[in-house]
Amino acid sequence: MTTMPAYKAIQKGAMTKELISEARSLFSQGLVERLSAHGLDIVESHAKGAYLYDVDGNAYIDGYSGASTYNLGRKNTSAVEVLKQSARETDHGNFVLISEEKATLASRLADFISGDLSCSLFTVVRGEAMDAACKLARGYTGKTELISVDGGWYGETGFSMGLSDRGDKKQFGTLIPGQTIVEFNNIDAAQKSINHDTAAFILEPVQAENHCRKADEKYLRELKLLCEHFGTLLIFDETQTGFGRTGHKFAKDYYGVEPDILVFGEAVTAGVFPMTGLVFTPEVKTFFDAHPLIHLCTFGGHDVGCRVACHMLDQYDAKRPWEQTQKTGKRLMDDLRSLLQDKPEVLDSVSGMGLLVSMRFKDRDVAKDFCVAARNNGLFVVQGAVAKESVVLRPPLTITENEIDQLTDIVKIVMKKI
Amino acid sequence: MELAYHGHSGFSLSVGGKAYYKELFEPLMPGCRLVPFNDLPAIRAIASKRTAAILLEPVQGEGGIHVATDAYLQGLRTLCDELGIILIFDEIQTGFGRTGKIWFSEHSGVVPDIMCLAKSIGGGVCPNGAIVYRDTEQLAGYVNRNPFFHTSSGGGNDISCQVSSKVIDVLLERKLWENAEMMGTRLKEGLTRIMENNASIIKEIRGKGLMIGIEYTQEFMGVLMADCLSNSGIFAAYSGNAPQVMRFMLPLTVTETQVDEFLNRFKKAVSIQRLYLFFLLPLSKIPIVRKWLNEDDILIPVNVLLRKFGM
Repeated sequence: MTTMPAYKAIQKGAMTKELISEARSLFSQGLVERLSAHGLDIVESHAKGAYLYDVDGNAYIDGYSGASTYNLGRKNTSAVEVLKQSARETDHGNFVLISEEKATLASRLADFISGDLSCSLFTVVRGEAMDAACKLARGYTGKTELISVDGGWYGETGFSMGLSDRGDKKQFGTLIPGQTIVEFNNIDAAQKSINHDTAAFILEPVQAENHCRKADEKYLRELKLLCEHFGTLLIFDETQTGFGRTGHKFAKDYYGVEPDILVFGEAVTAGVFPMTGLVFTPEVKTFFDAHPLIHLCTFGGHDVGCRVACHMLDQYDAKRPWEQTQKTGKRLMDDLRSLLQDKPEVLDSVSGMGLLVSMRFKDRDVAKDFCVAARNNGLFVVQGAVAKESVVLRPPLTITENEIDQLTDIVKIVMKKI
Repeated sequence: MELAYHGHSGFSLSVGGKAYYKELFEPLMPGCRLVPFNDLPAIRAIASKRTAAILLEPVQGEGGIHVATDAYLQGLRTLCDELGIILIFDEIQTGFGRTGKIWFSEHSGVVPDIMCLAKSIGGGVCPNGAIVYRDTEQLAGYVNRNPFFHTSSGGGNDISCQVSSKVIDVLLERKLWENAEMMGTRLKEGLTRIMENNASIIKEIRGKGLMIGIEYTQEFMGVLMADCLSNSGIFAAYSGNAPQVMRFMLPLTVTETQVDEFLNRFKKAVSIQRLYLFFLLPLSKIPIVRKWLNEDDILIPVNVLLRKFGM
C-alpha cells in the first residue's frame, strides 16, 4: 500500500518551464499555448497508483488515466516486471505468423469476455480497431452503409473519424462515403435510417467524450432487435467503458445487450503496452476464414504486448476492479452531485457510470478554467473531446475511497476558484 | 501509386494499390487516384493545383521491390513545387538504414515535405510510428494552429519513445546503413550468380541495400519458393501485391558469414524447387493450368499433395 501524498497547491517549477519551452520548437508554439490554456502543461516524471508526479516533484491525482487506460493503476508493479521479462525473452514476433502469445491472449479474451465474442483481431490504436470493425462489417454482410450516432468519438483514422462527432473533420476532405450519423437514444431515428443495405450500427454505450452520456437500456435492446431484423451488425466501442471502468466488466454486461463486434482499448494491457483490438462472434469470423490476411497490422498482436495483456487479464480476474468501482464511482458521483446546489450558475450537471464521470459546466471556457485550477491544485483532468463544456473524471480503478475523498476535496477547492 | 502499400486503416487503404485488400470494403475515400510508379508523364497528366499530396514509397516493398529512379523523384519534387503539392514519402520500410543510407531520400537528394516512419523505429521491441515534416509555414503553421489535429493515446508513449531514441543511437553509433550497403551488395551478387544458373526460375534480382527482391519467372513460384525456403530453414515472404516477387529484408546487423549461409540455403531451396518444376513447368505451359497455379486456393493443396509424395 502506498501512502497518499498530502494535498498541496502546485508550484510550477523550473524543470517544467524549461521542458515546456523546449517543446515550443520541437512540436509547436500552438501546442504549448493550448496545453497551458487548458491546464495540461504538466511534464510527467513518474507515476504510482492513482498519482502522477511532475519533473519538479509536484503530485497530482491522475483524473485522466491516459483516457481510461490505466485501469489497474499507474506503474503497476507486476506489469512492469512482466514487461521487462517479456522484452528479454521475445520481441514483436512476425505479424503474418501465428504465435503462442497471440493464441494464448485470444483464448484468454474469449474466456474473459462473456457471451459469444470468442474471436479476436489485434491492433495498436483505437481508430485502427474501429476501422477494422467497419471493414469486417462491410466484408461480412456484403453491405456498405455504416450508421453511428451523434456525440460519438472513435479515433482519428479514416473510418473512425467519419463516424465521430468532430467539428473540424471537414478540413480533411470527403471521408469514407456511406457513413450516416443519427440521433443518439432515438430509436425512431435509428429505425428510419437502418435498411437492408446497412452493414453496421456503431456506438459507445456510454459516450465518454460527450458528458458521459449513457444509452438507454430500452434503446439498446430495441436497437439490437432492429439490427437483427435487417441483418445489420451491432458494434460497441468499449474503448473507454471496458475492463471495469463502468462498474461492470464491460458496459454491455450492464445492459445485457450483446454486440456482434466489440472494440476494446488500451485498458487490455492496463495502459502498459500500446494494444487495442476487436472481438467478434464465430459467425462474423467466417469472413476471415474466407479472406485471411486481409487486414494486417505490423504491431498488432505484438508478442510482448500479448504477454503483458495476458498478465493484466489475470490481474483483472484476481482484483475484479469493477466491484470496487461500483462503490468508489457512486461515492464520487454523489459527492459531485452535492456540488450542484452550491454553484448552479456554473455547474450544470454531473453524469456517468462507475468511474467514468463527467461534470458539465455553463460553457467550454468555464470547463477550461476548471481544468487549469484543477492542475494548479494537484488534479489532472481533461475536457471532453466532443462536449468541450464537460470535464471527465476517470481515475485508475484502483483508487481508494480515501483518495476519492481527496479528489472531491480538490474539486471543492477548484469550484471556489472558478 | 499502382501496387502501393501503405497500411489497412481508412486513409492508407484508400491510397493502396491492391484490389484484394480494398474491394470488399468499398466505397473508400474518394479523391484518391493511382498512377503507374516511376512514370512521370502519367502523374503530370493528372496532377493539378487541386492536388493535396503525392504519396509514394520510394522503394515499393509489397509491390515487389520497385526502386524509384532519381530522375523520377526529382521530377516529382519539381512538379510538387510548381503546383504547391505536398510530397509525402512513406519510408516505413526504407527508413533507418535499410537501403544503405539512413533515409532512401538521401540517394536522390530529394527532400519530401512529409515522411512517414514506423516499424523499425521501434527496434522490434515497442510499437511506434511518426511523421516528420518540413518546418514550412504551410505545414508547421497548420500544426501550430491545430495542435490537436491528430491525437493518439499509444502514439509517442513514453516507453516506445525511449526505445526509439535508443534505436537511433545504435543506428548512428554502429553506422548500420554502411553494413546494409556492404551486405546488400554481397547478397545481391550471390543471388545474381544463382540466377545465372537458374534462368528458368529467377527472372530478376533488384533492390537497394538490404531491401532485395527476387522476381521469379512465374507468379506461382513465389508461393512454392516460400515453402522450399522454409524447408531449407529460411523464413521469407512473397510480396502481398506481387506474388511472383519475394522480398528479403535481413536485419541490418547481418554478418558476412550469415549472408553466405543464407546463400547456401537459398541455393538448396532452388534445387528443391527444380524438382517441383520438373512436374509443374510442362503443365504450366497450358494456359488454364497456369491460371490455376497462380491461384493460392489451388496451389496450396497441390503443394500439400506434392509434399505427401516425399518432395
